[in-house]
Amino acid sequence: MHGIDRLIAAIDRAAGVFLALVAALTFAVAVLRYVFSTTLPDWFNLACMMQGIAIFWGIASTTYDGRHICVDGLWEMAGPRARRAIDAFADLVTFGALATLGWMLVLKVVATEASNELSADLGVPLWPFQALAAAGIVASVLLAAVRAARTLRPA
Amino acid sequence: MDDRTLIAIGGFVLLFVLMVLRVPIGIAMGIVGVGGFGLMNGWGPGLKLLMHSPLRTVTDYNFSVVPMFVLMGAFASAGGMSRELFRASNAWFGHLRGGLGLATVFACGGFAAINGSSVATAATMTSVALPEMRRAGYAPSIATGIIAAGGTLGIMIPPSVIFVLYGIMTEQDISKLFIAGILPGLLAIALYAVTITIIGWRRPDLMPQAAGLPAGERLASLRGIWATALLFGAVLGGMYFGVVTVTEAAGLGAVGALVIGVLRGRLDRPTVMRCLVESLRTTAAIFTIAIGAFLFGYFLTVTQTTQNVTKFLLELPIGAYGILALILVGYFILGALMDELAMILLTVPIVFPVITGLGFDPIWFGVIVVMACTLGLVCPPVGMNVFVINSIARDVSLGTIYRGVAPFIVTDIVRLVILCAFPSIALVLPGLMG
Repeated sequence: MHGIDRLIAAIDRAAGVFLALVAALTFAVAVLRYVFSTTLPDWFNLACMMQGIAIFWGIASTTYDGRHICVDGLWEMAGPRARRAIDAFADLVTFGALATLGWMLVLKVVATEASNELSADLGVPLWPFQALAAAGIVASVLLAAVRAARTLRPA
Repeated sequence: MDDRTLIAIGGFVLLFVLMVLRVPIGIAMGIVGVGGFGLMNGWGPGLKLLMHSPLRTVTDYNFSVVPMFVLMGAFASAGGMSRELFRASNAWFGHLRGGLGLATVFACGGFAAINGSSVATAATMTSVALPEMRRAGYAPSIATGIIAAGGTLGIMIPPSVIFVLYGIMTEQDISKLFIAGILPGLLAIALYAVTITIIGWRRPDLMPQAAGLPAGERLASLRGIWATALLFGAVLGGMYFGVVTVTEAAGLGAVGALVIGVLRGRLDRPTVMRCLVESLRTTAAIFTIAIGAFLFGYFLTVTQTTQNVTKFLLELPIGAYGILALILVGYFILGALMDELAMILLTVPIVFPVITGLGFDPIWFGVIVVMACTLGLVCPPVGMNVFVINSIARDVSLGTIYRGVAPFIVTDIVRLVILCAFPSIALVLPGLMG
């Protein structure tokens, strides 16, 4: 396994665990509410943030593997050179879009930290969670660059 | 032509070009959304959309229903529930003419009840049912055609990812949408069964008849499907009777499928992790489109596209059902060209005001939209179910699968007409929910 593949596998596992935590939290809160008439403080903020972290990191590995949902009609009909050109264009556009998104998310994290936004019950700062989620998109940018470089490399 | 109209037209042209050039659909929608908004309101406000909208989308707790139901399907499939459903269906119906085909459709219906994706249903059933059908001498065309059609039940019978997305986009009650899908789903199973039976009688060479099983073995086959029945009952029953919310039901389904699989010794740690990763990747791809769709929504708003399309369609002198037919034709064309999730997220914000303006029930239209999606899943040139089956059964060509699924496309169109003529088929159960 190449280093980058090991990195992707690690990202997948970590993000998968966050997804599992969202499911477990949702289940636990439902049980607590219906059986014990109580709830966990800040569960809502926590579930939302964990979902965001899982999804943004999931986008990183999905981007690297090229598993996004695309329209393949023209690509299917094209020859090998045209396919390469289409792939290169799509990879570069994806890289540019994710880079812009990553940049704006970093600004968002900075703004959240500055405004001292806190969770509803326990008053925990939200910016570290947002930073962890935004890091997923920053990773997507780097992985999109690797993917684009591979596509552009002469055969 | 004013600037707003020019930007609207230019935006749709750019979206089409980007999508054709294989830019991920969600990213293409996002680029047009931010670009269009930036052109109308300035680049600062345009870029600021990226600060807020994507993070708001991925942390929207309503959307957690999507990964939970995807996870439930993954655990159920890895836990062998699909195989048990097929075994039970085969034991009871396998001896009839076209019996294995009937068993496959019934198993698809059963698996659809614990899984919200048509593609997953088709992929799972290709692995489970196709080898059995081919061993029994079924023609590859009809065997794969049955699975492609049966797979579409995944998004009609609840839980359904498409219903969830439609519900979020249109602010409709997702529980009601799920319940509305039950009778149309059962109607689909019945019509597919009739189609298989007719083909079986007219072309017995395509589907050789198998020997029946003793009553004892038939009864024994039912023992394996308790888990599916329990999951479906808990998730749908909980929602129908108002015991749990949709999100809680989804969490219950995911955790329930995991616990059942672990207790039966079928889900070890690597398998659980594989299910988590697969679900995550599927969900990330869906969320990318959702992020793009919400950004695209800003473009639709500032260019007043929705209002203009609504005004244009409502002024057409063809009556409410004529306009509905026009919209459905548009869906068939789009469904043949692009992914169903993207189609829903792209078009529903535009056509929904037209539908409500015409006085149609939004829950019923949700069912109709899902029906249009099921057709897109099996129609050439981009029938996603057909591609999935072809990717697993490499020796069966796309043309062969399309040939096999053709009779079921006719069946689907008949079902669509029935649902348009009798909306109560979809609305009677949600009406009882109160």
